[in-house]
Amino acid sequence: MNRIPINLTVNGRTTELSVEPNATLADSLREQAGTHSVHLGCEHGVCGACNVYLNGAVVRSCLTLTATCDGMEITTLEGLSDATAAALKDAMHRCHGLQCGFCTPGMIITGHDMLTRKLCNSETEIRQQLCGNICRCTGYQAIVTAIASAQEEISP
Amino acid sequence: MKLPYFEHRAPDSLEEAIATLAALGSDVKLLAGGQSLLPAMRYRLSQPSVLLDLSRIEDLRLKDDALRSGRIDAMSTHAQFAHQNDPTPLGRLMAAHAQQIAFPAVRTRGTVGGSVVHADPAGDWPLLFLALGAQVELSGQRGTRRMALSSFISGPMQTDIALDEILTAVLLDVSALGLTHWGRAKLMHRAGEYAVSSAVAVRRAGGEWSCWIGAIEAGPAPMTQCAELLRSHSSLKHKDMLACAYEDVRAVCPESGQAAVHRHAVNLTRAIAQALETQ
Repeated sequence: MNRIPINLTVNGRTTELSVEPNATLADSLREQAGTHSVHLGCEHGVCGACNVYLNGAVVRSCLTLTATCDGMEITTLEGLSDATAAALKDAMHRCHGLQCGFCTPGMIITGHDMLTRKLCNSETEIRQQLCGNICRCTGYQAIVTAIASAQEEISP
Repeated sequence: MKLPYFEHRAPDSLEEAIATLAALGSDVKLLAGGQSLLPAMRYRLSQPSVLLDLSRIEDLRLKDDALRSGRIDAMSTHAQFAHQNDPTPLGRLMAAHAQQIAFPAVRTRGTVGGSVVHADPAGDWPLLFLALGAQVELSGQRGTRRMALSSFISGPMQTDIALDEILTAVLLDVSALGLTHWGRAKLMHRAGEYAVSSAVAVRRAGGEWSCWIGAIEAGPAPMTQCAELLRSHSSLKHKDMLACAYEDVRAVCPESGQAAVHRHAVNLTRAIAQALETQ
């Protein structure tokens, strides 16, 4: 098979990959870049467990071909190290925002994005922003509470 | 399922993309945002041997003056419209509409051109652009042509695009750019899902009303009696509007049950009520 050379910056580190044309970003991140926080739930864009930042915007890594990402910057849960991420992770722990933990990396990426862009000013808004992430354990309430709590902590 | 094998080509220019498309014919599928195509390929509903990736073509990306020039380049993303703060009625309509397309992460990649060519009966952009009376621009080896979107979309998931053509832009005329009133309403089982009922009502710059509903089997349809009622009456009672909406909806989906007709009619009157509020 034809392999394509791709340069990515994954969590601040330059990574040179050689990928097959049909490799998705999710597969490349898990298998080649070693960022195992990227979870694959549905693999067709519904569940949000594979959400990552691509050039600063959240995308479904299972619906993104690695071949289309040459020269781009990727941030996964492993690379989230700012105060917002710390507050959110702490709130998820405190508010019991996870049980099995499978959806959690995607939830934190989505939550981090809405906290950063200040799109979580009410419970309704949080739920709307969270609509693309599926959790089969918590019933969402604890996750919504955690994001609201992190928001209060960041800007009381 | 994992994606089947294919070859990936990513030209830097439209000319190169058109030449590649002409050379490969039916073996190739155009990759815009991939948010519908890649799931379809995972399920083997589509198995192209080559994906022609349009993401590196600068000419196809959104330009800053799109809402003034009326030229919406094909690779503009849903997120670009959801996040813009254009204060004109058209700008606010586009933002409100884009903010309800799929999930935030899907909006980052999904494109206007992809949505129009996909022509899903419940798709958001086809409905809005039909209500705005838009045209599409198609480019291929044989030249560039423009046609009304209403003629371009020929049925559910069916368009008039030829094998050697790329949809390069959606074009809005001055009557759409200067629209004065707008309303839209969308019903979904869950936020981010395809609509079970979707409606748009706009009053264009010339004073003409245009009401459309989507998410019906045959694809978006104009609600001509409602538009006429809005044109001819300055003050309208809700019950008259609803009765008119019922008639319009029944005419385009005669096979649908009472519940579906009611859902579309009520949703349509919500869009119209929102459009009238701005009066």
